[in-house]
Amino acid sequence: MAARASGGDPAQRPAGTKRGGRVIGRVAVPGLVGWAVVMAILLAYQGLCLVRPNDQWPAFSDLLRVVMRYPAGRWVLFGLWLWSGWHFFVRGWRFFLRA
Amino acid sequence: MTPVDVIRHDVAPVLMGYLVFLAVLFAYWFGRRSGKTPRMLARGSGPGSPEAMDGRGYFSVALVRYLAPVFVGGYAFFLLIVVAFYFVIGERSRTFISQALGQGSLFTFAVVLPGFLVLSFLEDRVGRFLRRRKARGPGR
Repeated sequence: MAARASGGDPAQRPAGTKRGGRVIGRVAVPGLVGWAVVMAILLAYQGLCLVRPNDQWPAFSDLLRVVMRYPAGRWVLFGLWLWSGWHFFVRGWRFFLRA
Repeated sequence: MTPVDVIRHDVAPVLMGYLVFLAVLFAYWFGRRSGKTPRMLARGSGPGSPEAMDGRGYFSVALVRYLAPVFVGGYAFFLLIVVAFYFVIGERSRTFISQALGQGSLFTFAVVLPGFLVLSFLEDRVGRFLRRRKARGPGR
């Protein structure tokens, strides 16, 4: 879905179109490097927050723990978790979960 | 693809996700202002958790009473997301809502709920076993 708008799906680009960087097996390398860098920064930040528990920098788990204290927060997080599970893994499945 | 399609299919879902994240940050900030710093919270045992409601064990009536609103509320929010995005994205499939209802309820109440109960039961049993073993002391 997002790939359509961002032009991330090279299969939909005209042949010969160059869009910033090498392409390995129809996947743009800068896009993968960007995701790797973003995830590395996030995990490094989370790790730093966890090893220094008494500072004022909240880890992601701290944020979730505070939200989970409220019933509405638990509903929202669980609903989002259900939705992601349904959207990515269950939707369109045709075995015993036949619609 | 028109700009309206881009907004409906791509911008709206990502923006909604970002707004949820901002809401989490706001809840954290609000919690800190009211003196509930997360470092002070005991890990895994909030005031509404089954341990606090029933000190005898995890797998109990208190757990069911704790889980029931979480599952019903979470499932309701899941359906809200599905219905909202049905209209926002303009999904044309007629089976979209029925799929969400059928598969979503099966997923929630036939897969996730029993799985959670079984894992909670196992965690409780293993925890008890380890505590008993520790209380007996090493080498016995």
